[in-house]
Amino acid sequence: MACVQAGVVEESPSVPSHEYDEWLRELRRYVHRLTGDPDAAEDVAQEAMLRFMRAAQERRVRTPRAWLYRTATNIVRDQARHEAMQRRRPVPVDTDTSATPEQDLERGEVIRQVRTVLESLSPRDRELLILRESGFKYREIAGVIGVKTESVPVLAARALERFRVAYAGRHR
Amino acid sequence: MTTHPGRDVLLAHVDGELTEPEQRAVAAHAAGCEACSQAVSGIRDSAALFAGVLVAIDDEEPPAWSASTRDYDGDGRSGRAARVLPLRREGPPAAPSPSRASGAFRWAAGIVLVSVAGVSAAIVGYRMQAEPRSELIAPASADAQVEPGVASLVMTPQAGVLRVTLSGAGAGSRVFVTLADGVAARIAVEGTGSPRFTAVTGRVDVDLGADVVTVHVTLPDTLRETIVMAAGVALVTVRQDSVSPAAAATTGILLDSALQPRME
Repeated sequence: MACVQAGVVEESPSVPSHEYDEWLRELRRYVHRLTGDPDAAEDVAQEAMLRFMRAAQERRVRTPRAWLYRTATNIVRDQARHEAMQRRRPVPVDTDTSATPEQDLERGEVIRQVRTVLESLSPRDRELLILRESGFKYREIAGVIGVKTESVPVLAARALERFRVAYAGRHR
Repeated sequence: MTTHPGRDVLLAHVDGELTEPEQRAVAAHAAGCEACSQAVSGIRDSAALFAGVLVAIDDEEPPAWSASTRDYDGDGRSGRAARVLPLRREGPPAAPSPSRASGAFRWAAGIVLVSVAGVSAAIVGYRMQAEPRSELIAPASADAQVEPGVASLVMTPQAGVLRVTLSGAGAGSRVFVTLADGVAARIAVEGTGSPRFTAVTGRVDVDLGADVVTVHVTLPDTLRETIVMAAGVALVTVRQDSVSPAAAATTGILLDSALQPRME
């Protein structure tokens, strides 16, 4: 990543270099949760971090975490809109050799159902619920998805209900 | 509060996002209002289900991603990425634990297959242990002594409140929550439709109806949080009473890939 190689990390006023790894990892997890695509998650997290570094250098960032996650969220939205990002479903790789065939089948089915449920939600519902579950406060969530703070619980409550219904119907 | 708070207010209450006076007002109202109290439980349950969904998603992360995670237990190796707040053990178990930095701990994982009224699900159970002993959760394998239509989950004593939430299990299914060592535990069961249950010291047997049933088991030691998830069926959340709703909703599972599940 060009920015890192150029030493921008050390010069960034917004992310201490020792936290950079942690921020990138968490961002990558967030995008993976959003898309289910680990390759896309790596790309988007790197790109978002790159933009964040530049913006931070230019003193354009006031709320670092919200800015970073908003950038990543927008990239995901744009890519989904342009259908440049196919939501791939990688076959689960069995790295646990002690699992029985029943457990493998179980795990594959579980992840398939879970992904179906998540993908049945609207992008904003997905973003809302993931951000909330990731520990973001309402004000931060509002900053990331671009709504008023007081709208967050309203939207999130509805999203949670839609998720509950989708989850309950997942066997169909 | 003469009117019922909307679901958005109840969610904000669960997430600890209301002001102090608002939190108190909502809590007071819910204490005397069955409908709102159940709505709050429903919100918590849905949130816990979603947390479980994210755990399943996170489980699909490439192994390489966890190659550089923190070494939580101070043994020089790193486990898979942590998603929980570290547990603090306030008192040693039967054997003395090696001295570690505060916050250090070791996880063990057990995988339990649960059959509830013919619906199968996997429960991934975790407990903390101070040393690499084999006092793991003793899970049941698919062909263990699990009767058709009966679910069993065995956990060794943990601290905090063990809450098992089961939904959609169907009439006639039963679940046993067994605590090893016969630890004296306070057990309560709640749910719509007045589920029948019997509780003896350290164990509760619950007859599930078609409704959501919550089993509360309060255990004596001090434990922060962990979550035991059965995707689709059972969800177990262990939390300390003092944990805030927002924090309680963001529990996850720490899996130490170096430890193998112990199967019976």
